[in-house]
Amino acid sequence: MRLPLLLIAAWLLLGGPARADTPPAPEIASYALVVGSNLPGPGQTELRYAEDDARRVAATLAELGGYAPGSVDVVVRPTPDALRQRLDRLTERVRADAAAGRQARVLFYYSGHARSTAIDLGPAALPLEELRQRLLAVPATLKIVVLDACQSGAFSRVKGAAPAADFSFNSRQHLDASGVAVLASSSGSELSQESELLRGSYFTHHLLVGLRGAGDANRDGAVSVDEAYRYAYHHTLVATSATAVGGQHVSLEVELKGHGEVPLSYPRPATSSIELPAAAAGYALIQDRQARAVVAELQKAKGAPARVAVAPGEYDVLLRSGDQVARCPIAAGPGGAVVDLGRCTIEAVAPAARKGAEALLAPRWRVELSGALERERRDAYRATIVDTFDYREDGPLTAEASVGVVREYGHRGLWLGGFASQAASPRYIFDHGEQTLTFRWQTTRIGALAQGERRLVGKLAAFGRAAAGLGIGWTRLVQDDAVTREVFAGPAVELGAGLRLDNVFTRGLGMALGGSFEYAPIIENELGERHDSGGVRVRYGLSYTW
Amino acid sequence: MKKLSLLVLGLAATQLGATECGQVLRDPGFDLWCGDHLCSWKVVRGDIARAPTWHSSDAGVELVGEDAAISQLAPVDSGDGTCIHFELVANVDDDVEAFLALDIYGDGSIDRRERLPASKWKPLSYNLSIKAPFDGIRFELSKQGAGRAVLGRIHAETARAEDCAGLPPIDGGPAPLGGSCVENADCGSGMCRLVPSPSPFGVAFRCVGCEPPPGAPTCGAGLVCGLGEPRSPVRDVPYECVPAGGDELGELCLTNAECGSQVCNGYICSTCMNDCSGAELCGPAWPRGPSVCSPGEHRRASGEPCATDADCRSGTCNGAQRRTCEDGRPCGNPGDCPVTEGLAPGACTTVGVTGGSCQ
Repeated sequence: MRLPLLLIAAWLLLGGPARADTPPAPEIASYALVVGSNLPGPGQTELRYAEDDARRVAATLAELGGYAPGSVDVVVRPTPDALRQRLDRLTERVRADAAAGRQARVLFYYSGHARSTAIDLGPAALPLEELRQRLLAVPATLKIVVLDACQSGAFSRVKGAAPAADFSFNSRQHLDASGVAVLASSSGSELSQESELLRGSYFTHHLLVGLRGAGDANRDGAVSVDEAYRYAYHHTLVATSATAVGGQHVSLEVELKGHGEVPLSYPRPATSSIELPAAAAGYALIQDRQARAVVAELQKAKGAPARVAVAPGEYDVLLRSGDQVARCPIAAGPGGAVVDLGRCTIEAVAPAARKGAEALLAPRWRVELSGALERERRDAYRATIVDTFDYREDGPLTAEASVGVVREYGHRGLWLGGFASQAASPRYIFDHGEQTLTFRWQTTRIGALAQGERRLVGKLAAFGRAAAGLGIGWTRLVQDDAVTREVFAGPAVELGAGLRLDNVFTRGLGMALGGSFEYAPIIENELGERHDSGGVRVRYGLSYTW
Repeated sequence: MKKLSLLVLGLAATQLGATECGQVLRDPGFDLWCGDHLCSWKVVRGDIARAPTWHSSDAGVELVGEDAAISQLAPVDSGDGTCIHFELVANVDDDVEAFLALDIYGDGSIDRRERLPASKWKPLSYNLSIKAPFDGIRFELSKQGAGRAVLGRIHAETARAEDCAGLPPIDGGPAPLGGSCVENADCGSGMCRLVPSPSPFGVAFRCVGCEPPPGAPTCGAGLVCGLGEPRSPVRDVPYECVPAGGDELGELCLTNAECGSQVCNGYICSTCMNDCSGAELCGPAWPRGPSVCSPGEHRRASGEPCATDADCRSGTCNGAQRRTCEDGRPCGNPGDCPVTEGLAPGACTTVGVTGGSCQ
């Protein structure tokens, strides 16, 4: 889960750009330090797309932000010391520019986990206060800070616990005296989410779509901080409002002393673009065919063309209107390309492909196989067979195999699904020479399964599970050639816990070790004694998550 | 020296056991049913029925009626041990009086009766010390009263002597004829003798009713000391006074005087003793059967003694069918025969004709 502390703080200490639709003049140096880390801090869950988000931000900045080659520094999974070194190097470069009489603008982007006091870089953290001090120490004329950060404690804060001071609040308090403008998310206590479909966070995705031109409301060829904010605010809120986690509000606080708009990107002079013609209308989705990632989505109205800057390449433009989707393959080369609506193929909307945030919250599924080999439970039922009626237990172990299929809900570690298991008792033999009686039973359990899990460190997660359902017991007594079968039914419940190591050998494959207590008093004898074919079991399992 | 050896062999023979690895009773689970009756248990009084125990198909036996009893004669003897561990699983109602009774020697006299307490499938166990020597114990399970008494498991095995230490031994009384003995006082007849026996040693001390030859005659006029009728499958065929010349061809004998043919060959009344005429040979009509001349060669004329149809020219040997156990003793059904492997009774098979003559 992500707690987006989107903080776009813009400190405009000197004059802004001369024209909105052109990148800064060469005498204004532009630098970006883009940081991404999927690594979880203590008690947090590993992110999936924070590092990809950072790479996309860096690519967009290099393409559309007016940053010279080599001026966008991408850092993935840094340690605190490594990040300090990058910040120091950035400071030195800006200081050198200042010494040479050149103004500089700096954008700092971070995507990853954060708490109210620090950003988490895996097991180690960088205190926010230190980060602020280091950013303040950069002698740039314009500083833009974007934080798309996660904070595991945010969940409880959303539910009413008093929030700790968040980054934006503290920053604002601290920087007000210098007349600093702050662009921040509305609350540091809202949850943020990653999207399987978008393969990134909702916020960064919509911010980048806005920067590629969808956010250029005044059509001046540049996307300002204000325009990017409005676009990201609207689309992030719409996309997340129907998710299990809830709506996510991006907010902007800006105080730019004596200066106009602050452009963040310049999509018009981009090397390539896709233009939706004036006649196109509906919800438009632009998907990179090779990367299979959505690069832009926008609501296109009839009457005016819409232009989205993209990197050269092949794309699919999906234009939905009503129950129909027009699929338009397009190759965006230098100079851009215009969607030819006449060459689009029309498809019906698949029933499951509903537009909206709910559909975007693609769930994960997991199939689990586990086995247990345990001593048969000692109870009155067994005592009657073995102690009273002299049956010999042919081996002390009960074997059980179980399969479960669960689906994750809300990416909060809650998995729900179903299970089925089969347990077989050892054989019980009464042999008195002339005649042999052999008895055994099997238990089938089917039911609902709920699992909660929490990432401990790296690939290791702890889980707890509860299951309840129907147990069916099958007994079989063989006397010479005569076979007597009986079937019983009863409730079956299970509680368990364990550890799972994810992504072992290959992505998605996990190994689990745990214990469980099963209670399934199903089988009954003629004396009215019921056998609980459960008990305490050690389970060994494999899982696959997709 | 020879006498001493026979004594040792005879004493050793009294120590030979008859159980199956210490197990005393057959069908301890009451699982062997021959129709409506248990195959291995005899209904003494009343009636019985199959009844479920812990499982509907693991049946026990219910003693039905106000007075019902079943029994089984176990072949255990003092050679197996004198301490018997007895276990029983039963469902006995409160208003029922149930008993386990022991009849040592199986002679019909109850030597010990134990009351079985009311129980809901709880195991009951007893250690029983039996005074040696003895041959066979008849276990009888009975109930009196209107309530239910269902027996699920019965288990008896020989135990270590120390398990019965301090228990007063159950005295089955004087041993009957054919029973094991060590001294004269052990026998009801007052005569314990070393005699030929089917035991592996060939001889054993057994209670006899008369002085076997060549001892002094102890039988009255017209009687001789010979092999009588078997009394019990758990005891040897007894030595007793039998009519002189009263045994027909094929019957057990000890001396020639017992047989009508005056020929006792291999303890069987026969017609020859290697004294057949001409080219005929004297041989057994069947294994452990009477010796006849040219057995099975259809040479006997009409009216001549025969043991099988194949002895006669006519192909028919008139007479009573001869059924014997594996040890040669006459029998009417397998229950008359000593047990073999698995405590199952030995086979009782038709082998020929007793006292036959060719048609």
